[in-house]
Amino acid sequence: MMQFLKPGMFTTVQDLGRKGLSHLGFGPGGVMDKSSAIKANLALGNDENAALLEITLFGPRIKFTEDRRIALGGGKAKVFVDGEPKTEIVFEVKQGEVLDIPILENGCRGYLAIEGGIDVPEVFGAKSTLSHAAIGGFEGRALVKGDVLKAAKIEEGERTTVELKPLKLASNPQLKCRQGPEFDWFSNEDKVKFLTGTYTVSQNTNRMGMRLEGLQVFTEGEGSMFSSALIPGVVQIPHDGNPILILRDGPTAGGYPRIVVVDESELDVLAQLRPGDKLGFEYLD
Amino acid sequence: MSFSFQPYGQRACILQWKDRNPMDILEELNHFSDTIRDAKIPDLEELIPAYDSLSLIFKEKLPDQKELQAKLRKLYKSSQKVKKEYSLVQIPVCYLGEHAPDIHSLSKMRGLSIEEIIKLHSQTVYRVSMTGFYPGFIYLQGLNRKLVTRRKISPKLSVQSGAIGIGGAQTGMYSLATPGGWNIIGRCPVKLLSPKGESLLPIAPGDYVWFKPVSEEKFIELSASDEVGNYEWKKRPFQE
Repeated sequence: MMQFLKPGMFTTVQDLGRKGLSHLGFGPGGVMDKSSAIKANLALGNDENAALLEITLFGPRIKFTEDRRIALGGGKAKVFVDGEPKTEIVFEVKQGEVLDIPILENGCRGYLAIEGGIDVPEVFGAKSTLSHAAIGGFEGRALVKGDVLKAAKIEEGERTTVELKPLKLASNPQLKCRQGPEFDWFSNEDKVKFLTGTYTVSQNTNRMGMRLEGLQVFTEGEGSMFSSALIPGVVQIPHDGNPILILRDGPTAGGYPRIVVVDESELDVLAQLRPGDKLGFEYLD
Repeated sequence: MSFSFQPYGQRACILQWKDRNPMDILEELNHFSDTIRDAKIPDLEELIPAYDSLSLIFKEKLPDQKELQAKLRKLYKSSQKVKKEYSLVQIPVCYLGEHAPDIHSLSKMRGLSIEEIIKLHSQTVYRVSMTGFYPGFIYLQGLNRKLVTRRKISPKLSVQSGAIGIGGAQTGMYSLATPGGWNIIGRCPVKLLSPKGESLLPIAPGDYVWFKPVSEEKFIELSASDEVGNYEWKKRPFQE
């Protein structure tokens, strides 16, 4: 078992998310940086979909009541065990020891995988926390001080593990994108402005979406539309011209014009950006 | 009449009926969605019907576009119109005070008094076009033309749960406290979404709803009765 002495800024139980419920408003959700989470699980021989902890910028302090191997993926974490600094990213925490992850030194999200995975019930086909709907994960919410999580039983038998390497972070990433359904509602001038401009990640960024600051773009005419499907990675342009990038916990429908959609792999890159970081777009069509 | 087909990012496509009135194609879209679902297209993960569009999201990437399009057009032709049963659901709404943060600005923009807004909004039977956005959000069609109001310049970071809003020619209800860009003119005291109950939502696309105005006192009363699980939705079979 793991006792949370300190929860961290926004620590949630996640897996690879849900499927087939978008038409009800339950988007895919799940870990924000899929590849980092999968690698952390595989380093322990876990199933790639095993439930693990997603840490945001400031991590938790956890007392272990049993020996467990752990793996740390995603942004580089500062780690202490019983107050002693630790440099490995895959190691065993012994019974009674306190694992402390005060801060991520780079990136925005870290993954703490536990051998066997975290034992939480499946809700609508997944273990991931959807905090705005208060479902999944541990009691449908981010962890708080005093919470106790159970680690799942470790299955007997031979397991293969994959070496975990520190995450390489892209600075000023250029996100591969394709045109969104309302791309042609924008003038050529504004399309160029958007696709060649540099944007800054706003403070108003979370698992649902990322607001971007930089050049404003506007649709021609009134631009009022009926609401229609949103998918993670789509960029909406509200009437104030400031882009909003929809992320994994984001809405499944919306009515602001959709200028572009970034490629699937870019969602992992986005997951590691902090407010203040810069990004741009690379148009593929 | 048929739909336009457009890829939507790396792994999705969107079918749009831009020349049709969403009021006229709702049942057609409903049946087409069922047909697509039954066809079990490989790697199709999500199917999201909306007012005048239908989006299909695939597992990793969009299959061959020509083939997919041909298949969908064939399914569309074969999609049978089956008579479905729909319900009329009454939704209590308080259009007053803190429950209606944008009703004054809407009143100014539309040149209508608060009483007129309440009357126009509550004396209509709406049809549920779609659900989604966030869990439990219901999108309605049938908004009186006098109430059509543009979405906010920029969405608010949080809208209260149960909020009733107007976004363009649409009206609808936020079941959860989430970000939102619609103009909020009232609030329902009862939770629509019950992830722990047998059915997620008492309302589905195609159903009808009407809003019953309630006082601030009644709001508190209904909210308290919902809190202890005593509220029962007023729902009956309905046909236009």
